[in-house]
Amino acid sequence: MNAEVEGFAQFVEARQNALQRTAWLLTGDWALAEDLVQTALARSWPRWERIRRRDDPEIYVRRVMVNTWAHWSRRRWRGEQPSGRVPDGQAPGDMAAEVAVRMAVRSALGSLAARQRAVFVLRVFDDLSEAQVAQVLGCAVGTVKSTMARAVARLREDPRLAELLDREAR
Amino acid sequence: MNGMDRQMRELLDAAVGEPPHQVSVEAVRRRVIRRRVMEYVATGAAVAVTAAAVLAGIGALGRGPGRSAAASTAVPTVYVCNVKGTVIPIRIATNTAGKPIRVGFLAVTAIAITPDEKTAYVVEGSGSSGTVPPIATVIPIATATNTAGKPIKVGRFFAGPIAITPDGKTAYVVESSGSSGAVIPIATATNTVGKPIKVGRLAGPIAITPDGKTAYVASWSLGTVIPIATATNTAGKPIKVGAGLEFGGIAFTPDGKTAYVVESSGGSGAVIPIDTGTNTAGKPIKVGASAGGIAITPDGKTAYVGNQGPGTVIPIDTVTNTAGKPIRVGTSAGPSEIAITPDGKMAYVGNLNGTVTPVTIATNTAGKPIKVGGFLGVGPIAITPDGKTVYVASRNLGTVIPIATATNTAGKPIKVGSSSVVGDTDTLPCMAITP
Repeated sequence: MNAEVEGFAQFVEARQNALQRTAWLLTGDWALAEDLVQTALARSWPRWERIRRRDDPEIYVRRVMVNTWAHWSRRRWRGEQPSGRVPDGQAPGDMAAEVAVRMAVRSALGSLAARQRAVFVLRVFDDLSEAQVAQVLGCAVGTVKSTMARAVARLREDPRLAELLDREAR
Repeated sequence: MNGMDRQMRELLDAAVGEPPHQVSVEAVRRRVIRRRVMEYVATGAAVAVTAAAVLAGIGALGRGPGRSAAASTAVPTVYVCNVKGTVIPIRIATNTAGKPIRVGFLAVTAIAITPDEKTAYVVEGSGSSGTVPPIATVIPIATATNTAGKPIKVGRFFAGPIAITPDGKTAYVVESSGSSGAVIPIATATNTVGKPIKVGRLAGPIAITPDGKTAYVASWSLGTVIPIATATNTAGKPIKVGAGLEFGGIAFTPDGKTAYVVESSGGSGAVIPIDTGTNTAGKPIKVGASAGGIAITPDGKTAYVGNQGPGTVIPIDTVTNTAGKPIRVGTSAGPSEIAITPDGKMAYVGNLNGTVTPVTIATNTAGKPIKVGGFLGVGPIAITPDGKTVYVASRNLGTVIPIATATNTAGKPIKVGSSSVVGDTDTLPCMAITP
């Protein structure tokens, strides 16, 4: 195996869970998330030699992923129905609570515009700095800040999410 | 992170859970190949060969002979490689791109032009173990007609870089298929390959001394640089230069007495001078992590090394072999490529943030960055022999930008590839200019 391929394999092994989690938050579906990660990796691989010389190759892969997802989400056939069958209120038992959290988060994220969702997920979940998010999305840091503020404002309006946050705060 | 964010983070964590499946590299590789084949089938209609023939490994990709057609003198041209398997000639006089020359469809990795400028040798370096028969080839392009000749098979899997001796008689291609790496000599008169010269697996950059007597090739896996005597095509004793994780480049002083090898293993970059007379390595010159490209002034007094981490270029005094004060050229997205004008007055440094910084060599000061665009940063840089134009590839925009050295202004971008979605764009891995 070539060094390039070896390095790529190591990267995939080390980072695929993190990438898949981000992809799930973007797509809300594990099958789509897996597809998204694979597509992003397939697009990154041919230029891995270059990418790996960067300070942080993951930023590049994430950028490809976010862009690919943005491209997908503009297509009709990927039309997402975020708030389909969200359970009403809180059901008893841990399992159900877990599902409720999952559904609530998914539906709340689904209410965001694509860019807001990307900024929010990268900033809060992946813990990227504002500058890094700007780099991933190819926009100014100011844009990241304002988009983030709008995303958070929107999420605050989501009643189910507010309830969950309230409960956690207590 | 404020309280609200932290709560949100915890919620997201709780919502996500574990991915049900793992992604395999093999699956990714299959996708890469499928994409390329689909693209090839979609665009390959104009080429007088079917995709099926290529898949079957019949390498008759080109249409005309490689060398015999080189009757008329070639016009001054920049050859830009598109990773997707084409080479685009750009006429220097008009800055217009000619018809792409198809050399394959997987990955072009390197290009070199013979000193008589009759032939450009292009390495189509990446096969795969998937559906396509793995094969790495070198394709000669006749510069007079810009047609590809018969591919020369050099390996099973990966190949590149390539270097040509000053007399133009031999091209050396680094091949790193499977468990062992080798350098393959190609006799340019007949376009036939000689016996592979074993150099250890994961061989890196290659460079030939100005007198043409020795080719130096770096071996990543061993952390050595191996001298190859071009007269006999035999490998000499390996010269230990570092831990052997990554090599940025090899450059020679014009007198050929010293080779400078950039080595950046394990976070500590250094430039190692090698005495080409005795083939011994000198004391490493520390230049910081992420050291990249290297270029030496025509008078041989200074070597410039890019350091991507802090975004600086470090001048090295070749007499004392000491590093001078770093020249700041960019932000964190630092320099990746360096080229020096033939008159030795200016160095042009390509940055990963999509700019080119001119550095005045007399004073070691950086000028205003010239914006060429592109998130993936600046690709290869080539300067015309008259020093009037610097050609810079923008990686993800699929363009080559001419910069007039008189004014340091960027001209109209020349389109050589596509630039739709970022992840979808062509990369322009290599570029060569007719001497």
